[in-house]
Amino acid sequence: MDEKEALNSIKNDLAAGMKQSAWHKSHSSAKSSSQTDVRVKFEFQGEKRIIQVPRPVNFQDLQSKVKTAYGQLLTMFYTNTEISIPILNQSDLEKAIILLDHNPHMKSLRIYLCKENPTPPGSPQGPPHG
Amino acid sequence: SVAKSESDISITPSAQELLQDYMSLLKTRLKTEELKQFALLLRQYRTSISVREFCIRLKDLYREERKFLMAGMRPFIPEKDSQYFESFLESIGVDGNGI
Repeated sequence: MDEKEALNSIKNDLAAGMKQSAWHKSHSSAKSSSQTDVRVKFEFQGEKRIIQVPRPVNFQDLQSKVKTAYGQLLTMFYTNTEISIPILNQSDLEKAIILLDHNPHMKSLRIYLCKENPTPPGSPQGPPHG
Repeated sequence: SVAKSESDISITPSAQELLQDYMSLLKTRLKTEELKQFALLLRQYRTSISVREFCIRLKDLYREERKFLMAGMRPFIPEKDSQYFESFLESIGVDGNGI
């Protein structure tokens, strides 16, 4: 088996498992998450706020809500216990939403907010992990 | 109504994107030999070995520094095995999204 064959085999078997998964059942039904709001939990300088945002979540709309809530444009980071990923555009936001949707243990999209010109995660001024 | 067989079910666009994302992650995190081992292990999980054995061998393959990749396997685990898989993740200290 060469690498290409291995990758094809992996893709086929992952897809097969996905068809039988609880995740796929919940995301392909008529009452899928595409018809519900996304619960977004912002954290800025220790203060937390929760808002509901209708799907599909738009990056500029989310930025606008941040500006309304905090009076300034802030840089957004998607966070969980392991990682912090900057959300700089619609594509980053959609990836974060996918991570949220595929984890039944997460109820909110956790967004850590920093002032412009963010420092890397893990640094004293960067977003914390976890 | 007739129940759909596995071959009749297609995965949704968001599921396809999730699959693509995980494949991309595997390609960047695993070496060629490890990808082959993973392919073999997945095939064995589908055809012969138990979820218990699959989890143990997958953890060995990913090793401690990449065990977070196991959490990304959640959407690909058949429903009948999901409870065991979640317990296994918890037992090795992997929670949240992992990826």
